[in-house]
Amino acid sequence: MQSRRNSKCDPLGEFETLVLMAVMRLEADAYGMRIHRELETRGGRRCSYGALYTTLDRLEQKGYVSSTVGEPTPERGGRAKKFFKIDSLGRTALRQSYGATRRMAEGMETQLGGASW
Amino acid sequence: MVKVQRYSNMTVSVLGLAVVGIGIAFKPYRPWLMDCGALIILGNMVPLLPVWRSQMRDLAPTMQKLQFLCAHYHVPFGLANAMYRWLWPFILTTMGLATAFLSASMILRNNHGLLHILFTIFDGLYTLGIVVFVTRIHSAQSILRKIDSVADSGKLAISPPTSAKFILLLIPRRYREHLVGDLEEEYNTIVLPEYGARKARNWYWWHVVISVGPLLWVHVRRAATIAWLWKRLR
Repeated sequence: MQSRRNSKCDPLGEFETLVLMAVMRLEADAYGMRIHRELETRGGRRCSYGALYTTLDRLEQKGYVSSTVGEPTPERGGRAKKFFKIDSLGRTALRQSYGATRRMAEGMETQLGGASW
Repeated sequence: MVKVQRYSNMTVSVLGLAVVGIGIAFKPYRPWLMDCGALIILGNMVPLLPVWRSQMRDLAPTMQKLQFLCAHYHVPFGLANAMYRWLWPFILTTMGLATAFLSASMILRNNHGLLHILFTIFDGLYTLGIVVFVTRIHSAQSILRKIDSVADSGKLAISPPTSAKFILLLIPRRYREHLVGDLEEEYNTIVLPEYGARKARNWYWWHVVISVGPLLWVHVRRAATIAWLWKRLR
């Protein structure tokens, strides 16, 4: 069942792909604020926290990420962090999405302005 | 010396007000008496000008230092405080123009005409200038208290706008704690030190507004679907 699900994951949207990549890149430090900063600084994508949390919630429901609640800190006004971790299903979905983009872009490097995939 | 001057100023001001009062009571002489009273009150301010001038001289370096400290500690300085350099020339100019227009309207018997309207405008502006000048001393004290609290705590003690936090109560409970915590952390650790208090507050407000929308939309859509299903099933 798992292998069947692995082979046919729900296709990821563009923003979902970016969020999953940010979670994967940040590893153990992937929580709302860091993901938001990563999307803004590295991805050049400005988004609201509302949109980010809706997306993370959707990814969690699909089984692509899992979350744990951390310790409260003073700079957050004593509120706890929610850490996200990419699951194997999420990795597969990301691999499929990335693979599809790469295959579609093959031979178009010159048209895309020398983009290397 | 100052006491005698204040006393005499007060007496003359009361006299001016009395003339205005008589003017209100006696209709035939109303415009003439009211203008006379106003002229007495305005002229009475002239001996006070050197006192105000010296106070303004004392206030200017304090304000300058405060402006520097506010920039350093990211405490908002305020527009009225930033105008302190222009306050003295503003008071002098508006007061002079108010007196000139009033005198001209009296000499030319132009009551309720253009000259009188101009007098009323400049009289209002001059009064506003005096009010701003007097309130700056209190404002400077409150700014000093804020700076002290920031310097004592050794960290930025400017919290996000409280009214914006109330709006965040609209966010569903399961997201609320983490989302508000993330917003506050980014506000305190990145936006406030980098952009200062005013821009940080604007940033916070903007993120509150754009964050509430998508989260509420999910719930509205869900509720609409349930309502539609319920209607179909019935």
